[in-house]
Amino acid sequence: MAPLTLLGTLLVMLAWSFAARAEPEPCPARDGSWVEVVFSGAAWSAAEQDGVIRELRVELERRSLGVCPRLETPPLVPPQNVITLLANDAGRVSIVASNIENEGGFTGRTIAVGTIPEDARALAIAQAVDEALRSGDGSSLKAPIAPPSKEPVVVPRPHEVATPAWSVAAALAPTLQVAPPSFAGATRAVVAPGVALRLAVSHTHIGVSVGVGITRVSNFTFADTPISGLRSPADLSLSLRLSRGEAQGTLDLGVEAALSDYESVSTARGYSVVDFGGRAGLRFGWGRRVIPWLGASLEALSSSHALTFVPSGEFGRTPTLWLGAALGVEVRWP
Amino acid sequence: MAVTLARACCLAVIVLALGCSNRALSFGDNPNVLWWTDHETGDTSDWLGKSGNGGYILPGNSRVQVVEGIARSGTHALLIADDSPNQRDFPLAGRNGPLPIGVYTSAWYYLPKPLFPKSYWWFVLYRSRHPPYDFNSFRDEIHLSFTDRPDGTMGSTLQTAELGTIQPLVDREIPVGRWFHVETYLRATDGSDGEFEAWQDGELTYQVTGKMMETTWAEWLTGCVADALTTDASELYIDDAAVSSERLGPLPPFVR
Repeated sequence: MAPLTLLGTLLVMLAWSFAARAEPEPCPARDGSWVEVVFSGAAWSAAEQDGVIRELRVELERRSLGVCPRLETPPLVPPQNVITLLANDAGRVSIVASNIENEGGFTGRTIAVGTIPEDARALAIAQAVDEALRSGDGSSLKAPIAPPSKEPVVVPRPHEVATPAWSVAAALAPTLQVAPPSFAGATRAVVAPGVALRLAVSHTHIGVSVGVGITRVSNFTFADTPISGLRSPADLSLSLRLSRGEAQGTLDLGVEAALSDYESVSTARGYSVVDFGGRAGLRFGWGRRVIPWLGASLEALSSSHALTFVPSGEFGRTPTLWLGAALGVEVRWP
Repeated sequence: MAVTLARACCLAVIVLALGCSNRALSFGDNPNVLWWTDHETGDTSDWLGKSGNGGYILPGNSRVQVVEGIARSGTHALLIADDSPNQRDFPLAGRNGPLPIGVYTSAWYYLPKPLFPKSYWWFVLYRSRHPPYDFNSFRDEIHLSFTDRPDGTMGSTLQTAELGTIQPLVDREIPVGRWFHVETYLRATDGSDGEFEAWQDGELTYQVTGKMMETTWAEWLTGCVADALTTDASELYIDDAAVSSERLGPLPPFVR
């Protein structure tokens, strides 16, 4: 009985062993990465498909990659890559490292297999697929291709726009100069309308400017004594310009020489004198090339002249302080 | 130190060369001053001519002369000397008429000693003339006179031929030993719209309106019309006299 029991056991084990060998291996394997191969086109035969799968499994096994043909049911583990092999004639096979049905285009390579012996075509196709996978055509499918990230659009701030270091400018403006009566000794403020011209050369924010003006002193009156004349100040100034966007402010500080013509309306006798002093001006403008601006200025002269009649003597003095206002346009280049 | 001095000199030269100075700008004769004298000509020529209708000197029995020494401006002034204290005298300097209808006259006066007229010493006088406008056809219309106060100081009075004695707005003392300024305004009409005003050292002392003149022909005289003196001969100095169309006030010394 014992020999029969032992023999029965061996037979059962042998039968189980045969049964186990006959069961097909699952594809894809339950664990591990794999590549799905899709055969497309009319030139494929079943034998050629089996040959390619077989040879490809040998090639990719070295990289621990399984290979399975297109499955009817969705796999539990998604493939790492999908390779589409398109053959519409027997001589050429196109390798598309993507699922043509889903990706919709050929991006792979095409190999000519017409000159390759039939028994070597499967190996050649497998090696070409392996090469395609190694070259990265397939690696791009490892993850969805992210859309190119948008580079942040850097809009340069206006003041960062590259501007030429040197520039020249010319400004012209109607001006109104006023000498307060407390400084002139006059009975009322002296008003002198005229025109002012300023030329400037600047490097970035600092420059040098020359300004000239011609004003008509129209109501220079002391008590009942009217004095008329022209006044032409000229200054050489250091200019400091600050800007934000198109808005800009300019400070001018400099020395001044003023040519003045004084004439008595009643006696028609006059004098021309040159006075020296300092000038400070402030301008605010808007623009880059053509700049409308509004400015104010202060001129302080070092000397004051006594205005006299014979025999009654001094009846007033020339002002030492002039306040100015101007509204003009500056043209700057470049 | 030497470098600093050299720089200062250079700067001074440049400044002078460019005309930077505080020099005075003289515009000629004041158009509102019709006539003036500071007596720096050394004679009475300014009184006799210079502008307008000229003038005249009436020495009477005394002296009217430009002298050097006491002066408000420059070195000369007009000396009015009453050398005949025991009789009426009239050493005067005058400007011819007709003066403008509205006219200001002014002068600076200096008394080295107090005056003691017997009754009056006219030192400002307006005289009218009537046809035929010769030297004898006149009437003394308005006169400011020195008076002696009970306290020994000097004052002034105003009389007009038409209105008599006019009370002062301010009874100012006449100073002795210093220059003082008297300016008058006359609207020389022959009707009731006449006007007279007087300022002493810039202060309004008299103001009267009404008929001022027999005619509109007016002359201005200054100096002395005195009935007599209770003292010896006396002197009055006059300088910086002017006739103007506007009030000048007590100006600084005249300049040429």
